[in-house]
Amino acid sequence: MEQMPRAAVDPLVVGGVIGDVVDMFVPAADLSLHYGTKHLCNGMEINPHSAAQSPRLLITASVPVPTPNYYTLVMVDPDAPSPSEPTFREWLHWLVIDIPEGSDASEGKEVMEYMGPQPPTGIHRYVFVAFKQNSLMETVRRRPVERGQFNTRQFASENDLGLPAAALYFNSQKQPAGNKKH
Amino acid sequence: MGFSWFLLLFITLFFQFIDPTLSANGNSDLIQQTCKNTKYYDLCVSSLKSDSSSLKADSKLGLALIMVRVGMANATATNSYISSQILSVKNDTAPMRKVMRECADKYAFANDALQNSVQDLSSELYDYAYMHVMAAADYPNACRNAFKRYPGLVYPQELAVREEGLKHICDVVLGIIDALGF
Repeated sequence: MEQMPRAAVDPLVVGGVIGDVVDMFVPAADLSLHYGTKHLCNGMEINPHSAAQSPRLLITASVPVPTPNYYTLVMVDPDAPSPSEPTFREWLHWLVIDIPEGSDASEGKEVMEYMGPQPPTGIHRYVFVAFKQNSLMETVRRRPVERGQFNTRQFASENDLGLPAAALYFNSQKQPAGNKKH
Repeated sequence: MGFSWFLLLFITLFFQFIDPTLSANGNSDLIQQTCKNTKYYDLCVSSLKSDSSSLKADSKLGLALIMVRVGMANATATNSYISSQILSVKNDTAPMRKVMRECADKYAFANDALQNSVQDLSSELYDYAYMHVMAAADYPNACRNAFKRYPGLVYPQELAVREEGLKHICDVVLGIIDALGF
């Protein structure tokens, strides 16, 4: 087994992303996440105010392919409403399909609008999962109406997306009242 | 005559002493205190005062519940407004009716989400309530986006105003819940 895929996946195991949101997978793509000028790697923390608008999220195939694929991006909070009692798991924050390989998520088709983190209590994980599509989807099997109790695994299965191509997560928590955003 | 005047004054002061809420100012303090931590102070105060039960509310929780009711009425009113507008759509060349129906649904969902928060608030499950209110505040976005999907359609100003109205009410509720100390 190659060294690289394992190293890319370990933080996801430690962070519980593998298990709580997705199953073990072999990464086939890279995610590059920026909120404003801040570049986020696995497990980094950002305050909700800084993540209020959708980020720049670039999806690139690990190995160049002759015919580029489209990707689906899911962003969920598995710790809603609180990490100790996540009964709303998963809270869907963003769903974009048909993202051309090598481009930003904004080039895809937004199925569920971006909603920034607003964790009521505790430190929440915000997980991005990218799936390689077999073809242009244009629509999803069942368009989610509610954000709560979304199931990434089930969504992937319903839409024949298979295992993830990449995943990335960051942490966020409510800021103390003294640092009120507005 | 002097004696009865004195008696009247005495009785008034007596009742003022034993039940301060009988005075007009009694509950204003609670409303002011509760509202000052919210994003839209004036909206908070005027909405609460417009509901007669706010005079009897003796806790921030009571005021939170009133504000949620204000939000529900607002969402329901918008749903009714949109439904009535659908009937007057002529020459449905662009899919105006379809989009309006979708919007009516979204505002109905917003009402449902707020209804869900009532139970959680009453059970002191503040973080659950918080997320329901967040969801309610997000539904108007889905309506706006429905319009954006069709370049030929213009998002009506009236809906934009109502979108902002509901979002502001929800922001006030979130502010009150924040102060409920979880």
